[in-house]
Amino acid sequence: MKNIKTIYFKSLVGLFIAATTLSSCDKQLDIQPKDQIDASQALTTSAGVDASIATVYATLKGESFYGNRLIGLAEALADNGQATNKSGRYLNEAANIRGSHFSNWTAAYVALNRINIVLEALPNIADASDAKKLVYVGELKFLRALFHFDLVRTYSYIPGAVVAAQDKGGVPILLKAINTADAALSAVTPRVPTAEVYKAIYDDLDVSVANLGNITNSSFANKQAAQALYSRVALYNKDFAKVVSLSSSLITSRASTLLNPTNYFAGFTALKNPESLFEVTYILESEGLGVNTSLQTLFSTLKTRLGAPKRDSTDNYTGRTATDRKIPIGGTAGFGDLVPTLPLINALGITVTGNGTNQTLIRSRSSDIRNSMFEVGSSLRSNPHIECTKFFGKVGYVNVDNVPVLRIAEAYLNRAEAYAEAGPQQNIALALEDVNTIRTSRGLPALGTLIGSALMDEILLQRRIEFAFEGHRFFDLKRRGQDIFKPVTNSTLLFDNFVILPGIPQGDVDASNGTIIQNTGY
Amino acid sequence: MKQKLLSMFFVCLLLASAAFAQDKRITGKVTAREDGLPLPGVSVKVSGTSIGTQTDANGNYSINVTSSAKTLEFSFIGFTTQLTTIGNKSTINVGLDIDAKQLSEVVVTGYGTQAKREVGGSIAKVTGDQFENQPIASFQTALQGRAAGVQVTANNGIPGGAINVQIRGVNSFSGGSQPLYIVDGVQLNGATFGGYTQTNTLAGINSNDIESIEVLKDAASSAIYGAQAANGVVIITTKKGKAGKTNFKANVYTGTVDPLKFIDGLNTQEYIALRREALQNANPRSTATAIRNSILTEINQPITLTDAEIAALPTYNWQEEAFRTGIVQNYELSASGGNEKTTFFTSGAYNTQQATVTKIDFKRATFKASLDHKANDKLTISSNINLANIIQQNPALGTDGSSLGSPAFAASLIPPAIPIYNADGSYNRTVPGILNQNIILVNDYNSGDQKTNQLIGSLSANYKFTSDLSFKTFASVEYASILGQSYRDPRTPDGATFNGLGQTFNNQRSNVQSTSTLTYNKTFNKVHKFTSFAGFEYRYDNTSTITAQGTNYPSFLFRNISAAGTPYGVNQTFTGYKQLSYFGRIGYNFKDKYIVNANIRYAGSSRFGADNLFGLFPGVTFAWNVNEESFLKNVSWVNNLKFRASYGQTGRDAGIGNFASRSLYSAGPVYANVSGIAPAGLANPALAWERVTGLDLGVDFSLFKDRLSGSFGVFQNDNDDLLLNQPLLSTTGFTSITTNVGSIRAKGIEVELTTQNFNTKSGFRWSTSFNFTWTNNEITSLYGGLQQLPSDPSTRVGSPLTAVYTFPYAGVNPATGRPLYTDINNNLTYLPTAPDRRLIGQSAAPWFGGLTNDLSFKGFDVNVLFQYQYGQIQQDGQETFLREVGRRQFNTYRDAYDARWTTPGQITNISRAYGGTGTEPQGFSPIGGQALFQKTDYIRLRTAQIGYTFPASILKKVNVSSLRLYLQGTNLYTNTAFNGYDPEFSGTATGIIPQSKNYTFGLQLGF
Repeated sequence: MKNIKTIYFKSLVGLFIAATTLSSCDKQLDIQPKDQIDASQALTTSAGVDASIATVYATLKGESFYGNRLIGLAEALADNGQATNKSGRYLNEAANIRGSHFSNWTAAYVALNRINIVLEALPNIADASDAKKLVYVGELKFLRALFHFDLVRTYSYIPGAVVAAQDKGGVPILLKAINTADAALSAVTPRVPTAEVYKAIYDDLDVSVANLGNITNSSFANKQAAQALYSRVALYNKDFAKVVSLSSSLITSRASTLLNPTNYFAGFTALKNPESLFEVTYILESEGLGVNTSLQTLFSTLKTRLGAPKRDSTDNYTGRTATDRKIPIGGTAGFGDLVPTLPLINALGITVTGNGTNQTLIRSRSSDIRNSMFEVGSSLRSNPHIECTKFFGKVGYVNVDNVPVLRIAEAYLNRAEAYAEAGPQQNIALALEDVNTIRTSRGLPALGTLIGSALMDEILLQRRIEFAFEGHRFFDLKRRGQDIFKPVTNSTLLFDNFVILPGIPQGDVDASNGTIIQNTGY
Repeated sequence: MKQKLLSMFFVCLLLASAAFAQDKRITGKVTAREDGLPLPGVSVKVSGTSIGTQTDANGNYSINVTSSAKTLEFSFIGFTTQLTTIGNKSTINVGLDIDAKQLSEVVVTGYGTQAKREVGGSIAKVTGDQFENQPIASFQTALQGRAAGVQVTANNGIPGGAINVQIRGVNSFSGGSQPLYIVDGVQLNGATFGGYTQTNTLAGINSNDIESIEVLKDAASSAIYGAQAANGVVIITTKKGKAGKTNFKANVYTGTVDPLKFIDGLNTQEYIALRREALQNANPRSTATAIRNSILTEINQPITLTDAEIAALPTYNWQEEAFRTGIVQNYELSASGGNEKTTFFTSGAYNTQQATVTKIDFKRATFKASLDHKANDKLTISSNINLANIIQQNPALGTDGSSLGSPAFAASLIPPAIPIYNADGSYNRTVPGILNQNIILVNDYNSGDQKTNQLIGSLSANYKFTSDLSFKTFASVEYASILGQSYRDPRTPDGATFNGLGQTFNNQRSNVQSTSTLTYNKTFNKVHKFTSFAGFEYRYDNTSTITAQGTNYPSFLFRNISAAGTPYGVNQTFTGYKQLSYFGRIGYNFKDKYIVNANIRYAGSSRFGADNLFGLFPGVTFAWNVNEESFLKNVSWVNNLKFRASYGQTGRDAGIGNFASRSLYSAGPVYANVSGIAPAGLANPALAWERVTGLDLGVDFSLFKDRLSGSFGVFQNDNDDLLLNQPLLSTTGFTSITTNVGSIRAKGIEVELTTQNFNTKSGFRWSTSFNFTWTNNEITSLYGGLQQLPSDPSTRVGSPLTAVYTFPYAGVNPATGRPLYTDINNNLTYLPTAPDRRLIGQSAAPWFGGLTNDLSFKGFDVNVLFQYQYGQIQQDGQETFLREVGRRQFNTYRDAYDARWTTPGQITNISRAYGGTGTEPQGFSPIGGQALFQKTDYIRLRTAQIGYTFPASILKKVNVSSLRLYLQGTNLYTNTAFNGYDPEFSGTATGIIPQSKNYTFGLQLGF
């Protein structure tokens, strides 16, 4: 009996051990993700490169970039946009409250590193020809230049318009991939002098202009987009000769796309603006940023462009009551938190009475076709204002719009400004010619002789009108060191006020061992 | 493969069952001495041999014994073992005494049970009868206020929604704080699935099926569960059948669900006055008329209204429309019984609960069957199955206030001047301001629900080789499928943008587990009792989800996604993990005086880095029953006195992604029809579990004939190698990396006291139980010598993990009415800056507990439970909106309105009304910094119940064995200074569905 028991026991123990060690432990614990792939396999083919670049482009669609803040803040922080408090958004931004500022820092560096990872992987891509790789390099460097430029123009002073006492230099530039935990934990990324950042942007754009092909699709980087960006970078950098040369070659190839009073409205309501050289593109409804964040909801309460009766002098509302003029519920979609200020409305040639009351009425419009992109909003979000309708669900869905980043009109205005500035490139006649090109293609008469500050004022005025609610105004004032007049409070924000620059995310400042210096006042 | 081998082995064993020589036959009957009823299933054994049998359903037995047999041993769980000399007797009838000690003091521990006197760790026990028939969806609620060291907070008032259970506090940055749940040996996922509403997967268990809940609190006791046990272990044991007559129980209750409170807001006239004041303060240059006109326009009234007409404007109460009285119902039938070979318990129940906010509800059908069968003396087979079908209607828009259309959020905030309905009874669609939609309309038109089908099943076989050696193998599956649907009606503002938005998801989760244990117990010389077991366990848990969205519906009448004109999105995800462990325990018990147990688990988890797949988790517990010592044996007033100590290590593997250690690429966003990919993070092959080293000391006592009993304990847990999403310089292109850094030390005191106040001969009984916990923690180190986390100044060495570190609010400047803050030098300032922040409190309650009173007299019983927490401050976004006093178009607390600053010299805490941004120039928000936080201390009358049990003598005549009627109330009274709907929530409360109070009436019938 004892023997039997012992046998039981021994065999059981043996079996138990065998059962539990039949296969190796590590293998038992093996489980593979299905939503993800191993990093080592991601960048081995050109499909992987295309997909990685798509993610970088997609960053530009985000709220911190062209999807909302790079456009909206450039109006709100300056003298173009006033907040309506319809959803409470942009109140602080429009009042230049500390901390309500650009926020592209973190996502920009994530995108920059992704660009560098692809650049460094390119030599190992077997299924791409050398020619194809050159185009990839051009495309990636265009994007790298754009991200660096958007960082340096927001977080730093722009060359030639610096408050020396508050100047903390440029921004960190990222030119090498960081792929491993060790590299990330030991990385040192100091703020470098502004000139060094512009130098890096120039270097990248030189390659882009050389490598990229002519424009076929404004959704992606192309030679003309690189030239246009380069022209703007040079204008900010007060490198006027370069502005002239780049703008000129751009105008040579793309002058025909400049819209005129006849096709302006169609062009600006089309899926893609024909003037665009680079346009951040949305295709699916689900790509839109939605009813809280999209540019349409930021700028307008309206869901669709309305037919008559608008609150416009061109409509006949004799005998109608205020209630009749309310926009029906189906026509209301967004919040319209940021609307044009009265000076901008006037500059656009619109005469309005009672803007922001329940009696808002457009009395007349000038011949400037650009004011066709402005109309009175819905009453269902409290008192209506005149709103910008440049972003209006043009992709086919409410709250989904492509965002033009570079348009051909800018080449004329960049060049006009460069010609008007002092220096060897100065040419007042050509400056006037360029600004008149813009005026006449927008339905305004050409001007006769203009000189000195009057010429520059006209160029800047046309720039303000031309790019109203397209994300230029704050930077145009900032790069020229101008104070900002705030029409709503009838006050002036001085250029040396620290809130001209945003704060850098404090976590990065804290963790950088003093290499990333916080901007003044934060 | 393993399982196959094992089952083959069993077959061999069965065939080889040995027979033994026998000479004499003894028969008899075993009864319970207390009531004389026969006891089936009693083990009858010849002492010192393995010869034995069991009594049948009528308590009869018959056994053949050898001539050398001297004594028979009768043993049965819950009864004292009795030895009877055989002598020449051929009939031996025995009456067994109930072993009060054993009956009440068996505690379920990891992979087994222990007599309570042997327990050296810290284990809390709550029995099913303590929470029977409470109208609760998830059993975790039953632990509220009943166990020291265990804090249970409902995340919101959604029946079947998330419940936060913290054992000895939150002591991890990201390793999670929820305990490991084990139901009848099945380790459960325990997750709450937040789709369109919240589905707590533990809500599939009917709390009335639960026999007991044990909570393993100390590290040494939990260490047997290794890398997943650092937040404690909650072991649920469900009901089992007992041999004997089949008992039927029917259980019915029904009742109401009411809002805890309504916010006292302003009427239309006060609202208008406040807005005018706010705008005038903010725009001193505007004329009073302009502001008057602007406010009237803002509430959709003509500016031509006279003052008299304004005074006559009606006030609309949105809260009354948004909240309702809901109904709770429960129907349940169970049967249990069996014979000496087979016992069963089965139950079916249907439970419905409505929340106080339409249309949120919970309908659950559950079925449970538990079967135990003794195939022979050696082999026992058990199976358990729990099925649940749950349907929950969604909140109209999200489960919290991140959506302004949530009625629980907006009802108190919509200006009182805005009508809900038009004169013709249709919905008013013009709701101005930020809360720009008619929430009643939205709630009415939107629809959707989540349907859960859930199964927890297990099968186990236990083979006893000898009375000392047994082998158990156990396999289980937990499976849940959740099908969700949500529809945003095109008639609502959110739905209009899409012309109808339909969404659906299907979430499938499965959790397979297999456990085998070999147990060997032996007592030498009757005083040296050795126990031991060794085991192996494997678990695979995975989840997949498919979602689809569509827009552009032909009409609101179509709600299924097939009617959508435009596909909007599709998505599929998968995640999972595997665990593999070896574990064992050895114990030694000397005369019940000294008990030592040591356990260890070698546990591997697929979540960790390649370098650290496995870890070792040891624990040792020691118990000293001082009352067994000779010097106390004769001290009559000491019934029980035990000192206990435990020391062990556990791990924490939750809170990090299942694939966080690897370098992966995720599918990224789409751009211009090209689908993107992007790095998902940086690899960390060294990633490992968090390690908790815990010391636990305590004393358990029972004095004065058990009139005073309780326990007192202290603990200290050192949490090391904490999982942290360590922030990286974002200029590296990555924002964080999951690493093991930093330490937190947690300490606490736990007290449980029970007194038998009265126990008279006339049958009046009154007992009181009180428990109290203090627990606190401190971050002892971060990484790289940092004193604070770069991205989070509230996380700093020397402060509690839940420290709130912000600008101290200093009230209102009596001269200007503007809000003041205290700066770093203790001077007052309008505009504080980063260095002025300081520790102002913590967002976890360091003090909490409960108080229970039980009274009974002649069939009547009364039970009252109070529960409390103290020392916590929290944010509630809705509550802060209500304190904006006119800043935006929101209603305001009447208290805040009355207290606001209006005249120079006025001393108050509420700054002057200020419209627009709310922040005065060169100033800071009046509801920023410390002013965002409020104390959430409370004492709550959690449950109160009064019942009457009819006397058995009457019931016998109608063939009923028991009948009880009762009235119960839940959350009847709350004492708190908190202004919002409910001080009980976890995290921030913005717009959550608040909890409710219930009254139920019920009937329990046994036959």
